[in-house]
Amino acid sequence: MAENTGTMTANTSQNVHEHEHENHSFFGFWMYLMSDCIVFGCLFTSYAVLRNQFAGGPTSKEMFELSRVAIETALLLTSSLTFGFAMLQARHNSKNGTLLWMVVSAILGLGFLILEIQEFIAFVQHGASPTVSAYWSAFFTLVGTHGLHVTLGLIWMIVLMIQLVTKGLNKKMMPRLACMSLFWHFLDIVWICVFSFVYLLSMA
Amino acid sequence: MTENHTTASEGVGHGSVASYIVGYVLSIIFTVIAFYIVMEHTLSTMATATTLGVLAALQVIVQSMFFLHVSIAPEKRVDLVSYTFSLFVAIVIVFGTLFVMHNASYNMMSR
Repeated sequence: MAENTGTMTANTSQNVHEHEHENHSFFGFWMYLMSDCIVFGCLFTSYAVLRNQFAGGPTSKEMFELSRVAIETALLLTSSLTFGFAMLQARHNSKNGTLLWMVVSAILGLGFLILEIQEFIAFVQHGASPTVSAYWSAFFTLVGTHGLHVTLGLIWMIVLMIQLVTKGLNKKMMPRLACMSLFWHFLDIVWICVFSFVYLLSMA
Repeated sequence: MTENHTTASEGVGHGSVASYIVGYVLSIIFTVIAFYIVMEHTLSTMATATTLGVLAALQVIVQSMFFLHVSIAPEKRVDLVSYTFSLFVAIVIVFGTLFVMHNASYNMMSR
């Protein structure tokens, strides 16, 4: 707040308005992420409560393949890092650098998504579909919701890349890129909990 | 003037190549330890579960600091407060529900 009063005296009112608008949209997006965090908290809770309810069907221990999860983790974590680099390039006003790192992030994210879809298909083929037991319902809801977030993140990233190419790295792009980077890093943090508490804990 | 102001305020807590790399390397270390203890079965089930919880918490903190740039800087105070609050709510939901459901199944002898 003190910072904004300082700006008020130094700048024209229009600039102040723009800056405040950016701050508001950024903070609004942050609040969305925080409520999304609670949504995932609820999904993790239902998963934790139903963790042993296999109803005589396939168990998680029989189904999970840790090597695949390790590759998924590596892809998503690296994607988070490369998007961080894209943000740094954007702050240095380098349009091509931003685009390059965004393409790398999108490819890594796509790799994650393909592996996850392959995994889901394999589970269903081996008899572990969401309708088999309470456990698999909770599993597909939790991991599927995360996968859906990654899918939407990828679409958003592609839209931003198109905007970057056609409109350039103008002032309006910065808050959009900043919100995108928050979203992408947030998904990586949710994935930490998924691989720790869903995959690794089941195999412990 | 406007330019200077924007860069000065945005420069706080947005990280550098070095901070991103530090966050990345720490995350890799925690992840590798987590996978290692599970794959090698070095610890008892209870000890493995506890270690996994601690490692996950550490990694969430590391990534929040180095990637999401959550910090105690005064101009990011609102972010920190909302972050702490939603984390608190999520933790209450998870552990509160587990506690209640455990008691329910125990008293109703459903398990």
